[in-house]
Amino acid sequence: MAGQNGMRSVFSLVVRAAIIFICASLVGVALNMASSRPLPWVYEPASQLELSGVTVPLIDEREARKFFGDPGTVFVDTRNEADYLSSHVEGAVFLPPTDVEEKFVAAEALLPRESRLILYCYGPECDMAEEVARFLGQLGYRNMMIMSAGYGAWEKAGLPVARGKRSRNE
Amino acid sequence: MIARIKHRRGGPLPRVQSEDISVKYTILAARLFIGGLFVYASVYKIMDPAEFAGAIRNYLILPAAWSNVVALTLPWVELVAGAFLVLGIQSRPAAVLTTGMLTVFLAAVVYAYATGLDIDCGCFGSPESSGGRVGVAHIVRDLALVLVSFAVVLWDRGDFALETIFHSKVASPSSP
Repeated sequence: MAGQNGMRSVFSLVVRAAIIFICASLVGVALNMASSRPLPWVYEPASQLELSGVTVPLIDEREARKFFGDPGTVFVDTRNEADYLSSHVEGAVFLPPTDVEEKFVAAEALLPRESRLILYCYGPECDMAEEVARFLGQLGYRNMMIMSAGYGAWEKAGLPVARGKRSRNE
Repeated sequence: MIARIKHRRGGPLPRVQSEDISVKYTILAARLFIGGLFVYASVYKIMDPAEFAGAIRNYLILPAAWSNVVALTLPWVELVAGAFLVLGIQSRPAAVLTTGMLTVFLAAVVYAYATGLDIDCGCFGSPESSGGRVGVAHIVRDLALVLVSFAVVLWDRGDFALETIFHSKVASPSSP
């Protein structure tokens, strides 16, 4: 009997919690519907960006994989140096947005103007790759892509990675 | 509960009362703390759901397509549950919700830390107030919050609650 009462009380607690959850969620739904700038219910990532007058397609790690090993493609890692040294896309050139002009001097030889650059940082909401792409666009690079899923997705997919500084034969 | 049983059976009255009162005040403090924290955490997320949706996507747990719906609804659940806890309206169901949400947040932070994601925790919406990158400190903090919130589910008896005050006034109208 006591057990039954206990079960009933837990059930009542959960039902009341569920009612509060649903009503509060509906407030959010209603306010978004009434908003002058509602957020879309289903998130769809942008497919391209305009940076310094250059159209930069946003690609995921599977599309980026297709260009891996292509001699005309260079991957550009825009994350922090410690993370780059820890691991990066095999062959990627290190070029972060911080002090980008200075860092570019060292990286320029590895970034031919006519090559396809695939830039990446940590993940979908990281804007470091965008900042570097904007800078490179000003310098005349026209063929750039951003792997917006970021290094995390590349590594998670088990795609080729390397550690330490970029070696000559990478 | 033990204190109440002792009281009925004629236990040492002053000690029982003081234990009962200390439990009441402890639970009141827990309610106000967790409730206030949830109200505070919800404000930035409600003001900028797009940014919160970005923080959700960074965890790489939910499908990215769902991030907007969660960002539009979850902060309102946080706000309502938090406000209910502070005011003492449906305190225990509200505490069930805060405990559930804190458990989900704890699981997400543990996952992010275990998989080495270098992301902002997004705990309080704005990057300035969110406490930075996920780490052990976030895990310990979230675990402590889960326990405090769960204590309200277990031991709240409706003391210092708006509901109880209202009901007692309705049941016994004040004498002239």
